[in-house]
Amino acid sequence: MSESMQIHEHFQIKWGMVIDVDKCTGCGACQVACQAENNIPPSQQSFDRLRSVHWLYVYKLENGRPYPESDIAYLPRPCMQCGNPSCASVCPVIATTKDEEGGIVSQIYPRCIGCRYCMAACPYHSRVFNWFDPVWPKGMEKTLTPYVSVRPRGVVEKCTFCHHRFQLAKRRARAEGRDPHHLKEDEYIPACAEACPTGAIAFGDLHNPEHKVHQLSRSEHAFRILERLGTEPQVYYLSRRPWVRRQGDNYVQKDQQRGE
Amino acid sequence: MALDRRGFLKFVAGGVIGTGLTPLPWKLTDDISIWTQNWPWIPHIPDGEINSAPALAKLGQPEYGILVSKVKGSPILARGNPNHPLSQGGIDPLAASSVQLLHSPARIRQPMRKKNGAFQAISWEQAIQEIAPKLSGLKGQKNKVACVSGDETSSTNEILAGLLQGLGSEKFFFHPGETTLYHHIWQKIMGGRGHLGFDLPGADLVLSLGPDLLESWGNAVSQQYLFGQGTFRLLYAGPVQNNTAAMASRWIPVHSDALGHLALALAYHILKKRSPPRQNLSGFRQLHRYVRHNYTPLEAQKKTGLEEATIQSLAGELLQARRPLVLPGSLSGSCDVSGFDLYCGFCLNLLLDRLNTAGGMQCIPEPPKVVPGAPSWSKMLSGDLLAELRRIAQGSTEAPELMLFYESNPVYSLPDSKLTRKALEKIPYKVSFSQFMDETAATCDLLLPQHHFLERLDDAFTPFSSAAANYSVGLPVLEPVHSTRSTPDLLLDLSGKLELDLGAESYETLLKEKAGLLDADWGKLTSGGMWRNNTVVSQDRLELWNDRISRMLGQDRERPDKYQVHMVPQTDRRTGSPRTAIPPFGLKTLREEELEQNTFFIRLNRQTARKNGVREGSLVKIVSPEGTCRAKVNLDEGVMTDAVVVPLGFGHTYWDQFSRGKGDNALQLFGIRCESGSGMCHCSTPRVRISKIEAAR
Repeated sequence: MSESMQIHEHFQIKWGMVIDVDKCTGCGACQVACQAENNIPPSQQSFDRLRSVHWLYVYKLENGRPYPESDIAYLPRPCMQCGNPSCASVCPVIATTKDEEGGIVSQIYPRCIGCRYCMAACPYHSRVFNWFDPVWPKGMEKTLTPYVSVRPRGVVEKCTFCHHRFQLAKRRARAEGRDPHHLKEDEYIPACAEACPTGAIAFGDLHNPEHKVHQLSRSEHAFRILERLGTEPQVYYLSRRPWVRRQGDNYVQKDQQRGE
Repeated sequence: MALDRRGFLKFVAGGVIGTGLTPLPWKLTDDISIWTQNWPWIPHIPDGEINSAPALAKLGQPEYGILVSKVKGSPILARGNPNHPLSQGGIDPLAASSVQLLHSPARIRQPMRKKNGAFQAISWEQAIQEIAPKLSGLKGQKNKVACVSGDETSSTNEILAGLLQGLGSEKFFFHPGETTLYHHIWQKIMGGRGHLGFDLPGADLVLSLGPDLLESWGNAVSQQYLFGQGTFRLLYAGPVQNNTAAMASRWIPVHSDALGHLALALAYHILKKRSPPRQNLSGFRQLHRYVRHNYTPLEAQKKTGLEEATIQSLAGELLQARRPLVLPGSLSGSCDVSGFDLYCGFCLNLLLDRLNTAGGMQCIPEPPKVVPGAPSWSKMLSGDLLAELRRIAQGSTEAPELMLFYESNPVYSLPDSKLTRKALEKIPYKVSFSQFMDETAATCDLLLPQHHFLERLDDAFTPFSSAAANYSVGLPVLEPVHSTRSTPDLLLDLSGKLELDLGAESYETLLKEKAGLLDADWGKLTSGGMWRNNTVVSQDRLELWNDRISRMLGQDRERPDKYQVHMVPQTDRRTGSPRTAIPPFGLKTLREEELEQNTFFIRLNRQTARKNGVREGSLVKIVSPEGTCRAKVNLDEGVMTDAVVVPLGFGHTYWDQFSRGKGDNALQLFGIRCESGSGMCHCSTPRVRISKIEAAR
């Protein structure tokens, strides 16, 4: 990646996630917490790649070996909040941008015209389109949170690292007379990280040496998905298993670099 | 006034500059963009003060403290409570959906009475007028009223059992599960005292012989937290690479019917290399002799299917560990474990000297009794519902005249559903306290809906698998959404009408009394805290060998030849619990290889698929001696050859649109097996036959 392409390295704060794949049991608590927090409507069908709205998906990975050499892992996939987001550059109405301190890729629903260019551009399938208006069973709309507006049909949406929690943490810091740009460890964490019972999802400022993600992202076992595309994801994964790290990119047989 | 060319240009230029300077077009554009996405049918988000309240998750095992966020007093979401020791901030997907379940379309909104096969709404006064005379008429007649409770930790059980005693009945049963089965083997077969707990936080090596302890066994949330902290090394022995096996340092593939044998094969090496345990164990010599003769390396290899070196290395790890702990139990966190498997696992812990010691099995004292006349907890756990239903169905026991169902859905979640239905049909009058229209409630004559757990005061004493005695209380966090009532308070009212003294005027006073007996701080309990006591019950003389044990060890476990594939049940909290169906947010988390439209998937490896003539995506029929299911095939090399993983939690016929008709209920493949030695009835995991219906993909 040439320096000129690293367009967002000027942020002093870079919110990032480090997910320890070896600790993820695939229990799904993060997915449910994400849906409840972000007013994602329930669906009467199981996961549907085309139609169901989800911001966080847990993939099941297999090492492809026959029994008894098989091994599995679970990989939660939120929005990668790329350093060089391919979605932002293709949006014709500037509904998705990366211009706020912290490096979270925004999604401004009223601006979105539903062209879905961003979905085509995103290599992580992190974005979903509302084909239908959201529906909650009668009475269940009372459980909507005040944090995120409800999106109608025709709008693209995605994980925002629970950006509203960032705003709340900043507001709290300001009220307490502290610098909102120097939040303490765990003062701002997304709903998925908070819900994870094994603590597999660590969250913090990747630039801040006081935050554990700073060190974790530099681990020899850390990797990012499709790193070679140069999107510079702010979500890192950890695994001590080489076969898991290899699945992080589209390595082919003769590649020199094999994720190991 | 004439408009000349210059004037016109001035006007246009002025207009352009004016339009550029005024905020009107930008404001209009902004408004249009907002209002074209702000239709009346799009729900609006609430506004107001946000706060949170502690609550106690009670949707079935595991039970632990959570926090409920509220806006203007209305709950919006549930999250983990970092201050509750049983969860440490974690939450499972079912508890995380608990706020949404408040508004589930399956909620029963008011009391209902069945008339001409259909339910009709009635008032609470009418409901009490309906049930009180019936109970009064049965008062004093022996065993004419029975009760099934699916909540093992609540003090409501004392009220229910106390009410039954007052009416002259001892027919109180817990919904069969690990608590009842562990109790049976520990107390009735091995002569143990107290209730078994497992000190996972204190162990440095955990060998799980079957239990999926990171998903469905015991308090999975607490265990997940400990695993994440890396406090113990985890080894898993079982037929499938489930969530626990996937995370474990080592997965030892063993068929489910060989797990008890593996425990005794390990005991062989431990007995060889270790001095006898310090605990006074009656029958140690007989067990020693039995293991020495029947679990030689060659025999062990035959019985477990494992290489001698594997067993030896596993035994070596147990011997080298400072605080090893062996966990026997069910693969699905239910009642699918035999007494033999439990006994063998307990023995292994005893031979390793892991009783009442840090990181070992703990004998937890009984909870104090607050309802006079109610049986002890041990006595309540002694009832064997499966055996009773079998007797009723076969006609060898007279069916009760009236049966109460509290937090239990036996029609859906018991094995051999035909037998359960047959038994229940013989009971003339059935009453359900269920908050949801489940399969059992649908068969009942009277519905007295209980509050959702967030709407009621309730407690939990030492949930299964706890390391020590503990007590938590949950206060209601909102006013009831529907016209429901607190079941314990309703029962106390009814007892007054029946002139029975249950020793408390309200459930609150009863719980306060219990807290007082435990010397627990009520204020701390109701603000999300937990009482804990590390006292253990010492054992006088545990029996490793007696007549029943020798019969249990000697019985034949072979299955008919035409069923060759071992069935492995698997539970996932995303698909609910034995008393809760798939929650609204759970359904969407199911992957494409778990549920497609309304067909669920079974998992088997390529070799098993080849043997049975099926492929990835094939639509198949699974046949067991007890029933049939329809599913699609998902090839998974994490399953042993000749085994098939069948997920539980699907195939509801009632509930709501998020669970009704989604897949088949695999429990209809299970049978009920009553062991001749232990006398314990449990859910058998039969071998099955898989045959292709048609090519689906």
